Amino acid sequence: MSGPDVSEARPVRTVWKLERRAHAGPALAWGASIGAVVVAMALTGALFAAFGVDPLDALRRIVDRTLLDARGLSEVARRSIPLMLAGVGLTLAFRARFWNIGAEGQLLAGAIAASGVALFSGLPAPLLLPAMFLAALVAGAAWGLGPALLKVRLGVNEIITTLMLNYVAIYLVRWLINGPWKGTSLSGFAYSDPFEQAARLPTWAATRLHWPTLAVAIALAIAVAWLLARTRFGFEVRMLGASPEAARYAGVDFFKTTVALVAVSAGAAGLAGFGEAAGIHHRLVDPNSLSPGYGYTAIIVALLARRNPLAALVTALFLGWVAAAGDVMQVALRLPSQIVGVTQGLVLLCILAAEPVLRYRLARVEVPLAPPGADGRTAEGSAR
Amino acid sequence: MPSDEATGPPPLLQMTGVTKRFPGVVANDAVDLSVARGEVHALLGENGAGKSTLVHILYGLQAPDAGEIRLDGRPVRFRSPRDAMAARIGLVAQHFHLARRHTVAENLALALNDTPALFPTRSLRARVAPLADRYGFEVRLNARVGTLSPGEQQRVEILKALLQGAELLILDEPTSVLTPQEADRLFAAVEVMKAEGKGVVLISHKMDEVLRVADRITVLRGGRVVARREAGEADAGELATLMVGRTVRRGRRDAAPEPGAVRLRIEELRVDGEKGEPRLADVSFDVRGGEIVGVAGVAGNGQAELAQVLTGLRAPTSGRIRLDDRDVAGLNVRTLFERGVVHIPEDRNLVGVVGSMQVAENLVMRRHRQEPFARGRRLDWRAVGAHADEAIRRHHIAAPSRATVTKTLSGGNVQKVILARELDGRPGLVVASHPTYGLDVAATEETHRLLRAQRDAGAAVLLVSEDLDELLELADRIVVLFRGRVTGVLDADSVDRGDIGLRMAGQVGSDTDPTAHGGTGAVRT
Repeated sequence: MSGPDVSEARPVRTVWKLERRAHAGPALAWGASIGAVVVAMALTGALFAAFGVDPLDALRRIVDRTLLDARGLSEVARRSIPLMLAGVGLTLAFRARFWNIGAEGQLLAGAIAASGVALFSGLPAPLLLPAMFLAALVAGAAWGLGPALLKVRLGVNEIITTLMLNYVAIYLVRWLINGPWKGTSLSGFAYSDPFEQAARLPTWAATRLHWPTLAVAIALAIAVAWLLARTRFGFEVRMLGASPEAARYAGVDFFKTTVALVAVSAGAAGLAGFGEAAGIHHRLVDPNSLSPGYGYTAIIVALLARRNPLAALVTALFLGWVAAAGDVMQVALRLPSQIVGVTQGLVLLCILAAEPVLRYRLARVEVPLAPPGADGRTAEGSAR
Repeated sequence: MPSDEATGPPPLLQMTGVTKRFPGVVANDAVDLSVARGEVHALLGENGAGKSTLVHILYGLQAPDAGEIRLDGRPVRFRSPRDAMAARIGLVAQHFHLARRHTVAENLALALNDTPALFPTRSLRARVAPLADRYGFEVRLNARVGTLSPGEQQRVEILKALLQGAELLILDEPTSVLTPQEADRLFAAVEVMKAEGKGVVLISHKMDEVLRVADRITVLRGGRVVARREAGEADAGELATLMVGRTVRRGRRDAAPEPGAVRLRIEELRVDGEKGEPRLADVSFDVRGGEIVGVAGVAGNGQAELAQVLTGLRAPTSGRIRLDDRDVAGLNVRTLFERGVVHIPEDRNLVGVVGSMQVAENLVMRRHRQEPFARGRRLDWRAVGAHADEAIRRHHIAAPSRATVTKTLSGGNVQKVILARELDGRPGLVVASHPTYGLDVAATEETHRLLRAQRDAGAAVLLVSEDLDELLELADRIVVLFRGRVTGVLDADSVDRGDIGLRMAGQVGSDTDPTAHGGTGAVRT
């Protein structure tokens, strides 16, 4: 076996190679979010076609009934409210890399507390709504505090604890409406008695848009943005999320900071529960009716907004539109109701799939070809 | 061995001119390394000397930019560890690559190419028994790996490599997880491998074990081979000095002011690791105001723990730390910083700055609770911005703007951000860990200037460094650490380099050490 002549000029070949980016700028980051939405919509369109529905025609009809119609528009907005509240709260938690998957449970805890106050407190009418608001805020925060304490004290993974507490909240609501809080006025149905008028949020004209909650959501987004950008607390939250080691070196109190930010984050989800109970249903109802997964959709809201609280208002509107469009799809296009969940899932999947785009770039590089004798022997020998 | 060298067989491994560059550093610069059959070749070097990169190249984890590898005289090029294994190279890594939830037999079966699809571990016992016998390894084939001690896991790794037919074994810091008795057994097995004509590359920064088992020793520093010695002619003190550097940079010590009163007093400090093992024990020394005290030692002998305890990142187990006559032991980072303890951390990119944040933000972190940056609970970004512009100008930080994302800066400029933040005030104690590691000459000079300025202003400065020249140039006194204990507090003006080396190797100053393991004090060549 004599080796081949290696003295000839080495050939070069060009290959595509993934390179790590030093830093992804904001333009690229937003481009990735928008790209993710576009791809998800295209995939949803393909799904429509598979059901025998022309996607472009479907889109036109959905836009007609959601965005070009006053009532449709109000539906989009009212579905966005819980997504805004919970989503904005999650942007804060996610900034510190506290992966709160429990907004759904925190929302339900808020709804339970608000309903409890509405049904049983006996407070005078003008105090009723403020008391419900506070109760929901505290209950939501309390629901998040358990996982926060477990994480900072014992290092328990918050993804699991927050997620599991969602089921606890779901069954707690079911137990209440089938048991102690079961309504007397409508026997045979599993929900609580209706709230008195003073415990109901005003709505916009004849729609279901409970605007006070919308105002709270917008104010919260502005407040969280201000907190993150302008305060010592926000600076420490951002340090904690960007580099825990550096945060420790900077003297950030991991315990206090985490507990405080989770309280705000989970409290916001609790307020979403207040809005749904006092603004839409006016009673404690089955968890599936109270929240068709708002707490989970809020995760997509926060991630699509790239953990920016103000942007979460916009992404909440988008996902609120997807939810409202689901009604149109079911009624006008006779598509199965699950299509909403599928669309949401596709959006999330596309966001996650876009992450490597931010970390890497594809570059063309020239590599010298190894002398065939040196290269071939071991590489090919082991490949087969 | 054949008498005629020229016509003798080529060495088992011959690496020639191996070069590997990473952005900003040359990790391996034209490194040559050869291992004959029946030889143990030790690679000695500090963290960052390029040992790991060389191993990665040899094991197919990274491709060299230049250079050649020959096995038994044939050129080879590995694209992955599979290729290296097929060429009969085995790696026993520092961190084991074993499936912890599976049994020893299952882990071994996983590593073999000819494992049957059904009942993969059936024939294994028959194959393992003779190997285990020959090398003196008893292994419990049915035990789950997660339940084994580190020493046992290491034996599984070695068996894995031997079952794969490895002729060249790379042992990467093999004794870092072993008790002295386990280390003895490992080296007995290495003797068997030698007798069988296998080659061994031993990566280590422990002089005593290198002197004990190696036939040849190559010292790497800064990616280059700085010395090559036959075992017989090597000397622990010399090797220690070679490892930490004898660069030709000749800095004269400047006229230091007369030191003032004691500012930092450490008494009988003890720090235990996570498993209760002592990382620092019986450490006592003072640092005066206007004095720079250097801490010398081979990496991993307690320097990192000392810096962490003094700056609040780690709690002392026992002992006293007094700063300006106030007890500060066990205070948290924030309180210590407020009391004037500043820290230039060892890992500047991960700990010293938040890479994804702006330069301006990194210039105020730690100080962000103080005026003028904090106004109550709010931050005054105008003050932060003005401060950043000032610091960038005064420290010549090469950043396009104060809003530049910090991780896009070069290492020298990241360090300038840290120095500007930590050394701009009037600290009482400066703890600087490897402050010039990886910096160019200009940035190094600037760092030294700032440290001297703090000394002249009356601060107590503790300088931890692996660069002996840096210590001799800057420090007034040098504390030498070996296995967490002080093996000497030396006056920098009258110190002998060889003496420091011996103390770093634990061969002088540690004879009263009750925890000293066998082999430490005994090895003199």
